[in-house]
Amino acid sequence: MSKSKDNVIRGNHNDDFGLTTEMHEIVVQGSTYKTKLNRVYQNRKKWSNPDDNELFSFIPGTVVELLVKEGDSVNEGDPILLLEAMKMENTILAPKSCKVKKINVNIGERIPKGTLMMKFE
Amino acid sequence: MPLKKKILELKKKKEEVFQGGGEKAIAKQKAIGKLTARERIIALLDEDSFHEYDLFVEHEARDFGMESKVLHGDGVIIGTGTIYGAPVAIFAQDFTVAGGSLGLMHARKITKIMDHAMKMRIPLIGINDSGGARIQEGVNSLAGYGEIFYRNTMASGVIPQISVILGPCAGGAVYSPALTDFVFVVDNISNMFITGPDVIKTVLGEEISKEDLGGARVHSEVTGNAHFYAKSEEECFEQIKKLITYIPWNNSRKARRFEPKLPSKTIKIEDIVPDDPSKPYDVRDVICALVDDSEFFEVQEHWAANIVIGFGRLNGETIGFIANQPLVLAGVLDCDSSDKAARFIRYCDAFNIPIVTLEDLPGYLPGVDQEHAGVIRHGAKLLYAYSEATVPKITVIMRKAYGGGYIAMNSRHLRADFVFAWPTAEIAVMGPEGAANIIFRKEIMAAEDPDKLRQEKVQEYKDKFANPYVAAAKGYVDSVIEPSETRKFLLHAIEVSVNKEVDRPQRKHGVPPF
Repeated sequence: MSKSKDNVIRGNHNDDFGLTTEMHEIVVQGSTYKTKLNRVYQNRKKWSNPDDNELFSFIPGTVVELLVKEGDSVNEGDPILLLEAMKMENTILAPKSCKVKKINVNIGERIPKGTLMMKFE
Repeated sequence: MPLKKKILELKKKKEEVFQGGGEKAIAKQKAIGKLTARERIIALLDEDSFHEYDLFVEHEARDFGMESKVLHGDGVIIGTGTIYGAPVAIFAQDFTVAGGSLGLMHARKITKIMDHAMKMRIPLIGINDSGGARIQEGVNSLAGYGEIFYRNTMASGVIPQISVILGPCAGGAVYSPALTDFVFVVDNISNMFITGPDVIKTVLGEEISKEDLGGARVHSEVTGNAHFYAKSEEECFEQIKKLITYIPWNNSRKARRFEPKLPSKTIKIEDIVPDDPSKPYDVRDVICALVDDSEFFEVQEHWAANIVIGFGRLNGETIGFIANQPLVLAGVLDCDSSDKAARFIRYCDAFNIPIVTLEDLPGYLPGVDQEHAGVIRHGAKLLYAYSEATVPKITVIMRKAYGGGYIAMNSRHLRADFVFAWPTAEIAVMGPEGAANIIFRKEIMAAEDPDKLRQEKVQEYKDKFANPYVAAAKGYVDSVIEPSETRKFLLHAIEVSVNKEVDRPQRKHGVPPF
């Protein structure tokens, strides 16, 4: 800690710790405010409506088995893919009755969380 | 054997233990900018005040060839000393001895000094620098951690507990610091995580450095696990010493009273806050204009910077300050800022530190991410903490006090003892723009020039409600004061609150929304 010219004691770290140096506008209840933004705010995830024709991995893991191929028709609840994660085999079930349009993963492939694994139609 | 010889023998034995893990291990420790455990204690405590105990404790591992190994002090130093004359109990893990790993006797030394701190009702400082559990000692080391966590919990709110992370602190070990009041970290030296980069790479295939995963910056800025960030161990020790001057030895005492001093004359409080409520300023300047010697000791400076918390003194007495920060995210309340302020309020309340709240906020941060992150339950922590606290609670409303934010920031309704407002205060259900749009929606939509009418209606609302007098008329505000009178009003409020007593219903404990 150091005393600045104003005799004010503050942390002596000049770096920004993720704060923007310039002012941005932020709207709260119809009023606009000029302010700095922090990194957590800037990195927040923008919301988008989930598309039920897209199947994402909910956990990182390895694709152990594909039980369907592109063009197959499946019924809601049919097992379609085995994903091994944290030493557990997870059976992924068809979320609805539909046709498999596209498979984006291969057997043996290690995928992170949030990977688009399949598309339906 | 004559006494002289016996004393020589004792000296020799002590010298041997002082070697720690030996020259090589010490050189390695130094090479990365770290002091040894003993040097750290000496640097932190008053000169010649450190007294060490359990120097000759030996480890009990009997498997995997451990029985023939000598681990000096079993990798941890314990003792008592003083900081500016205040008694403290301290332990410091010695990374040079078996990587500071925690075995049965290592843990027993730590719990011994914790028990001592509790019995003597003095602050406990723990310096963490350890590779984690000593695998060779199996479940005994897990038992050791559990015994430490239990004591941390029992000591919470009774004696101040300070954790200093000066090396790795990984796996279960992180939970002792997490249970304590203040965590200090140093750039490029501290690491805290539950699962390290190696495990994350093996299991998840994600590559990340130790610093990026759980370094000092991450815990100071992103997670909020750390309270004080320093560039070097020396700076860190200065911060700890400073903190000790602001807090009491235990929950039945008050913090040490210092000689009262006036704030710096160069800071003019009425020049800091702009009239236009949409314009930002640094609320820390207001705090500095109010406190003794303009000295404000900020806690969690880099995390959730949209609220400012920390210690300052009024008339020599330690005060906990909580202030909305218009400079960052317009000073909104959100998950992190509510969490940050709530914990600080509970700290102040537990240790007899009066709370001053400086209010200027537009409300809660809008957004799907906030709602889904649980801003309802996090925000509720703030209401709970303010309502529950029985120390003197004073609020100064400087500008905006809108809606739920007005209630949350220690309003009269949550039992503030004193609520003062500046003439610039706007205490209303929401900001004029939002309110006019709702109240006059139909008229505005039907108007020939909707924008013009909207502006007129916003002005009408501003004139009527964007002031402190509506709230003052109901007694929700005790006094409307000039900004330059603030310190005087605060000093008086603290003075007349010394004997504050409030009754609480009988209960085992409340169920706060943690």
